[in-house]
Order: sequence, then C-alpha cells, then structure tokens
Amino acid sequence: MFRDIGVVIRKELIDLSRDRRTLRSMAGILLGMPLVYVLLIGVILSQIKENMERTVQVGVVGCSHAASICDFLRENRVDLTPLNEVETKLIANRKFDVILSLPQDYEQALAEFRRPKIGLWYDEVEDKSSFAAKRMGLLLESWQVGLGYRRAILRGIDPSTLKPLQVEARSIKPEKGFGYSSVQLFMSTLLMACFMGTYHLAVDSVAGEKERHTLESLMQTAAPRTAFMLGKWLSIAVVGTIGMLASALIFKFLVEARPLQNLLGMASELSWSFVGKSVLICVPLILMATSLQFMIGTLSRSVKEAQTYTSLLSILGFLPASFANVLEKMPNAQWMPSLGQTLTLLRMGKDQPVNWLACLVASGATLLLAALFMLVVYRAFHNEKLFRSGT
Amino acid sequence: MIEVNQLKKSFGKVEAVRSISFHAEDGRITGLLGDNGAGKTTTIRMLAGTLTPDAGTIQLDQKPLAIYDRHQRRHIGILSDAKGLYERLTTRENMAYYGQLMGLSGSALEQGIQRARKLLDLDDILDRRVQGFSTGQRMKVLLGRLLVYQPKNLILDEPSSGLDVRATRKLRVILSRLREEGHCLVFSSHIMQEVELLCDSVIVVHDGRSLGQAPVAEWNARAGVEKFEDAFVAAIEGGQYVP
Repeated sequence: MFRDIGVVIRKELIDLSRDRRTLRSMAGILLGMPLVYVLLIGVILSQIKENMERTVQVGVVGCSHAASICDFLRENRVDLTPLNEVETKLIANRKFDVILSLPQDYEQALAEFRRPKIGLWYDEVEDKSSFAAKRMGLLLESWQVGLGYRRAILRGIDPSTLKPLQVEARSIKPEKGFGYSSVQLFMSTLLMACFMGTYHLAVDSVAGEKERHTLESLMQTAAPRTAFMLGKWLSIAVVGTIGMLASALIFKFLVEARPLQNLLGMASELSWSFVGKSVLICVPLILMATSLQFMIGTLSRSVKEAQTYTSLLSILGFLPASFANVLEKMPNAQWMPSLGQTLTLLRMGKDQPVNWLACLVASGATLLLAALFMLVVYRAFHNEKLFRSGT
Repeated sequence: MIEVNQLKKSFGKVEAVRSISFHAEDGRITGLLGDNGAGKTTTIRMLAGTLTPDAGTIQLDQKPLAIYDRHQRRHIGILSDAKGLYERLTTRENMAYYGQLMGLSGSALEQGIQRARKLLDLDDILDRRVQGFSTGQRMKVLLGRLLVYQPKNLILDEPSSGLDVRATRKLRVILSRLREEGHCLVFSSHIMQEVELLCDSVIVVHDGRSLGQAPVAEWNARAGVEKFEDAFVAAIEGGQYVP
C-alpha cells in the first residue's frame, strides 16, 4: 500500500512539474500575492505619508478679514489662494483640496466675544481633499487654542483654566511603521495560500482524470483504490504546504526589503517566531482546504463543474480573514474551525494574549472536517458511479 | 481463461446487459460482436471490475472475479473504452506507471518495458511525451501499458477504432502473436471483417443478450450463408441461439 502511494505521489509530482498552466496558476497565487500585498501596503502608506507631508492647496474667501489665521496657516505648509466666493466645483476639479471661508466680521466678532463662523468645504470621497480637511481642522483647532490662551493671559487669567486637563496619548506598542498593516496582510497571504494555492491542482487531480478518461484504467490496476486517493491527496497537501511556506517567506523577505523600507521611510519586521507559528497554525487549514477541494473534484463530473464549486467554497473559507475584526466579537468564535486559527493569528499580530487551547480545539475540529471530507472521497472511490460521471 | 455466466446490469430503468454468457480460452482470440449499444462495453467494464454485475458470475482462471484481489488483477489486462493517457508523461513513463501499479519494479519493470518496446515497435516514441501522438501511436502506448506486466488474460474493447489500415494490420499481427504466446484474448468489435480475420470463436451480442458462441464458419453454416455479415444479421434478426 505505502509503495503504491509513493508511486502515485511520484507520478503526480512529475505530471505537475510539466503542467505549465497549473504551475503558473500556483505561482500567481503563492508567489504573486505576497508581492501584490506588499506593494499594496507600500502604495497605501506612501500615499498617507505624501498627504501628511505635502503642502495643502486651499482657496480662501475673505483672507483679508482674518490675516492672522492666514499667516498661521502659511507657516504650516498651507498654500492659500484668494477667492471672491466659495466655488465648490474648484474642489471637484481638484484645483483646491479645500476651500476656507472667513467671515467679513471676523475681527469685530472676536472683539465682541462672539464666535465667528469659519466655513470649510471639502470632498469626502476624495482622499486628498478629505485628508486636507482633517489637517486644516487640526490647524484651526490649534490656532483656536492659542488664541484662547492669549486672550486669557491678557485678562490675567491662568490659561490652564481654559483646558484644565492634560491628555497625553501614548501607544503601548513600539512604533514599527507599517507593522500591524503588514501583519494583517501576512495573515491574508497565508489564508489565500491555504484556500486558493492548490485549488487548480486539487480539482484537476480526479475531475481532470475523469475528463481525460484515465481514471477508469487506473482503477483497473492492482493497486488499492485507497492508495490512489491518499497518493493524490498527499501530493496536493505537500505541494500546498510547501507553497504556503514559500508564500510566507517571500512576504517576509519583501516586507523587510531595504528598497521598500527606504522608499517609505518606514521599517517593518516579521519575526521568525511569528512566521513559524503562523505557518504551523495554518497547516490544519491547508489539509482541510485540500480535502474539501479534492472531495469536490471527486464528486464533480468535469473540471469546469469542480472549479465552480471549489472557487465558491474557497471564498467561504477565506471570508473569516476578511471579517476577523467583526467575527472576533462573536461568542465562541475562537473555538470554530478556520475562524479559531484566523483569530489566533490576529491576536498574535496585535501582541495580545492567545488562547492556545482554543486554537488547538479549532485545529482539531478543522482536522476532523478534513477527515470527514476524505471519508466522502473514500466512499466515492469505491462506488461505480465514480466512473459513470465522466464526460 | 474467462467464464461469464448469465451477467445482468441495469442503470436505473435501462437494462444494459440482460443475459450474457460466454467462455474465453487460453491461446485463443474470442470475439464479442454486436452493434453499438448491444452491451459489449458494459460487459467489459464488469470484467474490468469498474461495474458490479446485478446478477451472474465471472470466473477468471477458474476463480470468481474479485474486484479488489491484487493477485488476480495482475492476471487481467483491460483496454476499455476509456482510452486516456497521461499526456505530459512519455511512453516509457506511462508504461512504467502502470507496471509499478501492477507490482513491478526494478529489472522486472525494465524487462517489461523492453518487451513491450520490441513487440509494439516503440523505439521512435519511447521517450517522447504522449501529447501530440497520432491515434495509432496512442493505441501502441495503451497496449504497451498492458503488455509491460504481461497479464495472462487480455480484454480489448474496440481496439481498432480510429486506427488507419496499416495500424489495424499491425494490431492484428500483435494480437496473433499474443495468441501464439498462450494469452487468453477477448476482443470486442462491431467490424465484421476484423472479427472474421482474427477470432477463433465469436459471441454475437444483441440487445443485452448473447445469442451464442461459435467459430465464424459455424455461424455461417447455421445460417446457410457464405458471408459472415449475413450470418450475423440473420442471428440478430432471428434472435436465434447457437449453443
């Protein structure tokens, strides 16, 4: 039996090494996705950095009424262009990030202890505009606080009475630049590798043999049918696990690459311990995903039919990663297959305490599911309907 | 030696095989002759173990056929209607894979490959990948896959379908040589000439039933005709049974 399994695995691996289409598909997911994700982090963070550092373009109506504010803004990387009236289309046309409107009675209102109304127009759906509006809001708030202090001092009032509290926000995690973003995307990379990495291979393994009319003659040989089942499944699982490991290493290599870090001016580090633990946590998931896809491939009449069901079910398996933050609040979520592993990865990424017992139970349940799927495959392999369904 | 007795097989309401009986002896070619849909392929798939008969018995070398008996499976080689090959493997790799699954390894496997190479004249395609092979070349690989482990009993379902004249003649030579070597050959076809030229004994199958088993000459004599084609038509139209 073990010899037969070895023969099947060897043949499957030789066949795979010559199947360019499947190799391309696997390379795209297992090697391409880490690259895409890392580039994605790079693009997003470089945009944030650019928005933080760049000079904001502001159209101002009534700058002459409040020269002191305008001077303050100019000192803080804000480029002001005088306007006669508020024309919102200038924001839509991206000529200005925001438009500021200063009232004619600004000075008089302050003198009379009234609060002059300052208008700020921006485009919420446009990142640049929305980010500029936030910066303008902070600058104006800062100006307002300074003005309040000055007025209090002039009246002999201790300025601290205006703001009796001193709030000092400090992050409990050391700043790692794009640290947590990279952890989240690393998690997505691993789950993508688990559920999508070998799906083409799994589907083709039996459904493809049915289509090519090779399965029936295979089952007429002296090797036990269980040997074919296990040989095929093991070759997919081994390739999938190696692929996931490669995916994890490529992600680590890319995210820690100097050129990217220099480009962003930020550093990120995924420790070997974190990478190793994450890969180990995902091994039961890959076995479950492989079994599920293998079962679909076995029960389907053609590769096309199997692909349809497999892609749908693989997305279901991948969903917990996308909604991990929401699902975390579900009671008992950490004990569930797939979800438990995802939440463990999430907590590890956040440096939060991990419930390893829950992770172990979730892994056990995941392996049990894998065994159930394989039991269905076993029954199918010993049923003559397996040969009746080929196209 | 193969003995089939009163085989029956239905797929839902469709009775594919109603009652088929025959015997095939060693050193002889036994033909299964019938129209398309007569039940030949279903019978062969039952012999191959991929379908389980609803009723009836199959004996292989005087022992009941057991689907999962590894030892018994090494004594039977089936070329069914599923004539797929691994396109990305070479002829040698295709043959070696089946040889290994039949329990061969090392020098025994290499000897089997060399024997098939000589018998089927595979020199020019032995180390080429199957992708792009002609129908004749593919048939050679399919036969090679069986011959590599030298099963005593060979069952071939329409082996000449799609082959050109030269390839068909070559196939006939190969089958004759296997007969001379003492193999028991069961050969299904719907081509009269082929059956007439090759078979020592012919079973006419019609509408899921075997109408009888006899040499071609005896079929002709019974029908009182000279051409085997006429005898065949007379048999299936009259539904007569020749013991």
